[in-house]
Amino acid sequence: MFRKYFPITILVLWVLIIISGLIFPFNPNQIDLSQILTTPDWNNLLGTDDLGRSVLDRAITGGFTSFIVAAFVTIISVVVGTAVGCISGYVGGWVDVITVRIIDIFLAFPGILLAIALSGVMGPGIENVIIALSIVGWVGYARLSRAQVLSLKNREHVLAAHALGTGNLQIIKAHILPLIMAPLIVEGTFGIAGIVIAEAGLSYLGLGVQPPASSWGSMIRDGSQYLLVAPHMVIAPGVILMLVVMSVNLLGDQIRDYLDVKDMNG
Amino acid sequence: MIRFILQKLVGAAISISGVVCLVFLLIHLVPGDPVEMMLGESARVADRAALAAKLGLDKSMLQQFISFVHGIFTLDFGESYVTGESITQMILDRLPATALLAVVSLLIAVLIAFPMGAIAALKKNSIADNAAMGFSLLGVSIPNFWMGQILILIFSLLLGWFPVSGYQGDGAIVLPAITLGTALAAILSRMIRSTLLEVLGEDYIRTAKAKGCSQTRVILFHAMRNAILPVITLIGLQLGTLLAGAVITEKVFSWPGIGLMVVESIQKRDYPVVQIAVLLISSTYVLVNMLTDILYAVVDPRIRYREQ
Repeated sequence: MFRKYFPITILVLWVLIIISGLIFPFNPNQIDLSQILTTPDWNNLLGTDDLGRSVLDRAITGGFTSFIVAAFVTIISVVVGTAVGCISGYVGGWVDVITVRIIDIFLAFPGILLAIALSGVMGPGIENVIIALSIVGWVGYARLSRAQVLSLKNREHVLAAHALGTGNLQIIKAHILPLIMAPLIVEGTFGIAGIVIAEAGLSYLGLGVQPPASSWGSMIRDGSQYLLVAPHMVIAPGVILMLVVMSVNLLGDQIRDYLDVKDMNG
Repeated sequence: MIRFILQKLVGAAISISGVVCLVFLLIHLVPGDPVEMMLGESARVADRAALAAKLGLDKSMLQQFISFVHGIFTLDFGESYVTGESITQMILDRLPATALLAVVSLLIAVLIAFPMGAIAALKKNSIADNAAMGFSLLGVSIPNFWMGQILILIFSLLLGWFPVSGYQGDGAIVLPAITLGTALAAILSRMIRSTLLEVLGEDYIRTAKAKGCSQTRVILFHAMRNAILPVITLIGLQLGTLLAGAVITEKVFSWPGIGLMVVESIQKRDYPVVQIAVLLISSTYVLVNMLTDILYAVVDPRIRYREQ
């Protein structure tokens, strides 16, 4: 029961918070120098930071930041990656050889190292975070969809469509894409967890959103200077970040079991 | 076998060449003048020209690329733009700290992940299994930088057992290594569990049991020996998690390794250093993966026959 509804509850909360942020007047940047570093109480449920700003309000707008980044990066990566992977696997020949090489080169950069370097060179800012994470993100979907297309393109129904004179685009659209959606959805769900952590990581390094805008990562970084006097500044955004990432991962597990996706890169 | 090794060598060489190109292009692909990015908009013309000349940015792209590649082959990576130090020397200074952290973290990860994955697989769906998988889920959901801060809060500030940051001091390595090691253990234990479960379903396990082998003997000599191979490959692949995770973890603990050097150089806009450090980390990753592939094929003949 708990396992089943926990992730979806947290994720619905995440989305609700974002919607409420558009409706209710939060004051994430309201500086109140009489309220510096206060511990959580009834006025400020999660306490205040070093400028007397409400940690709760900043965490809510931070959630907005991570949601925007996750949404954009996932959409861009899935669309670009799937397109590249499908074309590469379907066309085959030298196009495929070159694409696989390019994919291998991108995979040679471990984790978010390339994203760190890219946003470091491009300079901080939320747009650059989205660009950097998309440049890193499309590769996984390209590799996955290519492997799937390779195993599908000689199936009988595809050959039958060929024999009937169906165009290549139409075959990919109507006869291949629907069959590779399940693993892509599963990969995409787990991908969101990775992006939320990556955005927080980049912001923690000071490469993400710029002050006064907030992100869970930059909140943790700001709080690390006041760890002993105001641990809530680090604990609160971290717990929220962890709950969201954990829920996304659990949801990914549930979707994978539901869609019965097993070995995805086979 | 030689053919297989050659294939892997060529593959790794192509990947690393690609990485070299990408890293070279890093500062050229980005919109805007790199010199202006480093010096700021208000810099004087003479300063800009001097920096451009020093970095070779006044030459053609091809000439720049040739001298970049030449530098790599002669292991002379030029100088830091900020401190004027030789980049080769900077890397040699930082390398031991990163290597030490990587080895200790890997050790911690293996020591946690093996028993946990094995118990989870043997007692599938028990409380122990659920606890182990719960730990694994927590591990992948907690980012390194937060885990690091919480460890600092509890063990350095409140209990005073370990230094807050730095390289010197007794037990300075404990907290960064636990941060990286537990993150890796979370991924590894899950993989060890699923690999073992797969092996435990094989016919030879049933045969061993039917022969009357003890439970311990079946696990240690029949199951583990077969499960360990894929697990070694997984550890090789996860080295990337370790290397990339080290960038952020080293920053949290001010651990003076290559990762901290990347972050500091980005902040100082010292792009030549960033380029070389990224190149070094990625090449290490590619080479380790290649060695794991070859090792795997040496030990398990099925792999090299399948790939040929």
